[in-house]
This record gives sequence, structure tokens and C-alpha cells, in this order.
Amino acid sequence: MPHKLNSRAIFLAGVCGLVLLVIVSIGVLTSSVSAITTIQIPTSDQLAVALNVAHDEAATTTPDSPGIEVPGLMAEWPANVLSASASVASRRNAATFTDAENLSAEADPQVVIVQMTGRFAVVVPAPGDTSTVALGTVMTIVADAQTGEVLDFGLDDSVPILSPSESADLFHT
Amino acid sequence: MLRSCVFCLAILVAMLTQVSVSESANACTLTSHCYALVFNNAQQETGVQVNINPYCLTTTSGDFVTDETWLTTASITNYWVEAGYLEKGANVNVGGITAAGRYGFYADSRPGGGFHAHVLVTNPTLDDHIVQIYDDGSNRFSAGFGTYFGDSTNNSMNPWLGQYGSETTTGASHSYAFFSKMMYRNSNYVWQSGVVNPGYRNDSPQTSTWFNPPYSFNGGVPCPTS
Repeated sequence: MPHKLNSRAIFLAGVCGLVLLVIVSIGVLTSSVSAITTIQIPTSDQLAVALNVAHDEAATTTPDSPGIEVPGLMAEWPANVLSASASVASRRNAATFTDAENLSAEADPQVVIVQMTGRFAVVVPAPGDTSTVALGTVMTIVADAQTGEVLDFGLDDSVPILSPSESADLFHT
Repeated sequence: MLRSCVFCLAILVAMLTQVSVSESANACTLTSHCYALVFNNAQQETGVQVNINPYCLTTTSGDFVTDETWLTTASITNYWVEAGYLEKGANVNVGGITAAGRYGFYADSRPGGGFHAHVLVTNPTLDDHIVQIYDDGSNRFSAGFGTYFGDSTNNSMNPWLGQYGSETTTGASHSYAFFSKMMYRNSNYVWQSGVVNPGYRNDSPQTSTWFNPPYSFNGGVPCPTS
């Protein structure tokens, strides 16, 4: 009799374990799917932050004057800019747009992703005897959605482009 | 007589050692940067690591200064991964970072084009930070500043050379730091202490002095005298 009880207990424990495993698996699967789909259209407040970030970067990355603000351009779009759009995500989810991963930075804030197309030049820290100005046609800026502080930056010719269905248009020619 | 010659030879060697770290006068500008560098010529390096402890780190508006390390390619040195301290003044965009301040950062310039910069921590303290970069395989490089890390992905760079030191756009900055426990990872992915066949570069006012060669040196733009 005790032997029968033990077998039943083991069977029940096995079933419970299996159910628990299924629940945990579904949870993990759901969270990874939601992590992928967390690129969103900015709210009006976030859009204002994105616009400031975009103007700030556009005014300091013109090919004629890399690094230094071109006077009068802070509220304008320089001629070298063709388009600008913005999305919102967590910083870790935005990392892929600047070819980064596994960011274990001090925080994972909500960020605006600003992406501009055109012709850009930026002054860069670089090792000795290398070009100190980088050039590119797609500029991606990841900035804190509240403060506008730039956290990640990319200047490329080919990168993942923000989906129109998940971004707001800031400017286009 | 022989003893005198040996003594003279020793002095000569000491003088030559000093000469090898001599300074060249440079005008530091936003597009022509000045460096205090120690090169590691071990070749086929797959990683670099150094403890960086700045004695001071300041710069003026419109300029920047760093204390950092680089892992670069061999002949085409336009490709690299870098990490360390960045002190950035107001009114200048450096690697996409626009706000003035002090950062722990990493950045890369990779084959196929593209420059990327990432802030790992804002306003880090000026004390001993382990700064590390290594090839993580699958076109991926890992970079660390203290306890903060990030990966440079889709990066097919072929690493070769390590550099350690300071970079600035102005002689008015200050960046003198203690670079210690210099290491590199060899082609077999094994970490080795020190640097091999070290090369040097000092653009005035950048300067450097060995502390415990080939494991540590002091370098950067000297701190202001009080």
C-alpha cells in the first residue's frame, strides 16, 4: 500500500512539473516576442525631445563643418539632410540600430531613436594616424526619451531602417 | 678602463631610452589630434586590457580629451574598437555625443564603413578602471569600462595591434593618467601581461614616462600645477 501511494505521488509530481515547465516556456516565449515588438511611435512629448536631438545633431554634422554647430541651423534643417524620423524603445532594444548588443550600461531607460538620411560628417576619437572625421549617409541617434542625452550613435551607409509603421516623420525633402 | 666603458655604455642606453619617448611639437585641433601613445607590437592581438587611473581630466569648450585603449587593424588603421574615459567640452559634437561631460565609453570604426559610439556610464569617478576590448568571435567585439560592458556587432575587423594612451584636440586640456597592468590577448586567445616591442608617440603637450616597463606608464597632457 505505501508503495502504491509513493508511485502515485511521484506521478502527480511529474505531471505538476510538466505543467510548470509549459507555463514557464510560454512566459519566456511571450517576453521575447514582446521584446522584439517594443519599437513604438513617440508621444508628443517624446516627439519634442526627438526633434531637439535631431536638430542638435544635424547642425553639428554638416560635411563642411563637422563637430561644430553651424550658426542659425539649430532650428532649421541643413541642406545635407534629406529626411528624419523617430521611434521609441528601451535602450537595449534600440541597440541593434547602432550595431551594438548586450549593453550592460548603468541603466536601460526609454529612448528616442532618431534616424536621419543625407550626407553627414562627425569628428571622432580615433587612434593615431587615422582619419578623425567619419562620413556616412544614415545617422542614427539613441537618446534618453526624457532628457535628450545621447547614449548611442551610429553613422553608416547601410543599417536597419526604422519601419514607417513604427516611427513618426520629423522631416523630409 | 673596461669598467668605465661599460658605465658609459649604460649611460648611452639610458639616454637612448629617453630619446625613444621624445616629444614632437604638434598643433592640436578638432581634426588633427595629439597623442601620448604606447603601441603593443605583439601582432595578431585579439584583445587589449589596461587599468586606467587619471590624475586629472579636463578640457575646454569646443574640444575633447581621452584616456583610453584601442584595438586596431594592421595596415588599414581606419578600423578599430576603442574604450575608456572621454571628457568632452560644450559646443562640439564628438562621435555623436553632444552634451558636455565625462563619459566611460566605447566606439568602433569597422570595415564596410560606419562609426558607432556608446556611453557606458556618465560622470565616472577618476579612479582605477579596468578597460578591456576583445574579439568575441562571429564578427563581434566586447568592450568594457569598469563593470559596464557592450558589444560591437557585425564587425568583421581583423585585429592586430593594441594602443594605450591619451588623445586630445587642444593643448589646454589635462589628461595625465596612470596606465597599469597592460595586457594583450594573443592569436591563441590567451591573455599575456605587458606589451611586446613597445613603440611610442608623444605629440607635445602630450607626454609619457615608463613607470614599470613594459607593464605600466604615466601619460597624457600634464595636470595643472597648483
